Amino acid sequence: MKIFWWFIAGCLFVGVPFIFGYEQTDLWRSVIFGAMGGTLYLLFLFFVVIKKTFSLKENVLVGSLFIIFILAFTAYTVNMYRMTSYQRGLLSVIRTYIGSSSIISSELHDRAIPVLYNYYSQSKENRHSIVESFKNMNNGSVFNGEMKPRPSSAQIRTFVFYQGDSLVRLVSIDTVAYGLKDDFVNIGGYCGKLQYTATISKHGALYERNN
Amino acid sequence: MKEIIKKRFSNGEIFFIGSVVLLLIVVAFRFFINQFQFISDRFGSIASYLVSPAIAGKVTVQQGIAKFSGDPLPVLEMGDLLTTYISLILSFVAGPTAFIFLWKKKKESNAVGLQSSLPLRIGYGISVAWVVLMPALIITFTSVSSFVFSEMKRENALSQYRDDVMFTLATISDKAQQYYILPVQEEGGEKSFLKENKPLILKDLGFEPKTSLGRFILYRQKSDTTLYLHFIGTKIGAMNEDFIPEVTHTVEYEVSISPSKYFIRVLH
Repeated sequence: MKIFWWFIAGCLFVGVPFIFGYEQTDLWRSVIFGAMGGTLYLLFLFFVVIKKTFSLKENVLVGSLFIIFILAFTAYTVNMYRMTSYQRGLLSVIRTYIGSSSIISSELHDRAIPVLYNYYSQSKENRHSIVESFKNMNNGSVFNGEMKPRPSSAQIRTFVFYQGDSLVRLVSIDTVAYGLKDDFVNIGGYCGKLQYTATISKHGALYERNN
Repeated sequence: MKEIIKKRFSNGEIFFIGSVVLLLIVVAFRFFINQFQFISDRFGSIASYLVSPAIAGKVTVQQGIAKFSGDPLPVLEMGDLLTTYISLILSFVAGPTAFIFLWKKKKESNAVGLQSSLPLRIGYGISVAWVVLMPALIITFTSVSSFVFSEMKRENALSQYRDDVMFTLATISDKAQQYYILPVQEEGGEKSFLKENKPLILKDLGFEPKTSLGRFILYRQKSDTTLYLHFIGTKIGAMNEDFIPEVTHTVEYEVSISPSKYFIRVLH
């Protein structure tokens, strides 16, 4: 019967801190708190039962086993935490890389270069402005100041701004990938997302990363 | 043989020696683990149910996947929560408690000259195995995951390097295309990749031929409408298992740049 009550006590030793550490989206706090409760239970078991019941040799043996277990568990927890946190961070980094190359090559470069090409292909006498060239080339692709998303990169939103006749500014954001600063306020009501700007003028196209 | 061992060692000593031998086997197993992928996979799946940090780790990776695909962070499932709790109870409470009390009971039976019952002996055997195997399992799993972690870091370094190279190649190609389009007054080539009748070089586009990434060579062949950009990467040195630096990869790309398109080709 005694073993049963010890088992119940152990469940409480682990369970109370485990519940105390509960978070809706993460298990680590519960695991660490629960393991700390478990360690306390092992110490309690050692000093109340083992020390009083077994010989010195047996005490050393059991004590060593407990210590090996606790150290191994700690090492494993630390290693697992570092490894999985690294993987989680890595996935974000990969996503940002994908977003960056997608915005730069598919979204901004592929829209800016044809406009420049078109602008300088016209004769000098009857040359339309850069803004007109852009509008002609993207006729039907701009709605309410936003480019129609490409099916291959639906998560990218590109907003268009004109400055007089001489300058087109394209602001592209990746609605999934995170940028450099979490508190950066993006265009379009987003926050902390990856954002690039392309400025197209007769001097060429200039790209800059905003976040 | 059994008699000789029983005479020379107490039960506790036999148990301790057995544990050490088992640990040594586990350490040896760790060094050959890659050659037994099937065993290591099975071992990994068993351990993931027994050791609670593995479940917490799985949840962390799920968070990363959610962030990657733009989904909200997943809320913990009751199953994961319960499995973690049970695994903590098995590791910290059930195994050690059963081991201590059954051992105590066995000693008490032996003290009065009675042989302990069969269920008691079986229970004791299982609890001993549990108490010894649990740390051994965790130590093995720690070693395996450490090895996987260092491999993962090495692979990631190479992948990030490749991404940086691709990004730089795309930027240079874009600049070259702009150069082709822009008129001379705007410091362009006016439908040519030549500058003052000489082939365009990287410095004309504002890039250095040698960077920390490697060497970039811009050249043209007979055609005036196609440029070639060759890249030879810095050799990536990595530490091998004996912590000796070794050359593992060479990275080589070639880009063909025309006025409206560019193609990046991986050579190595």
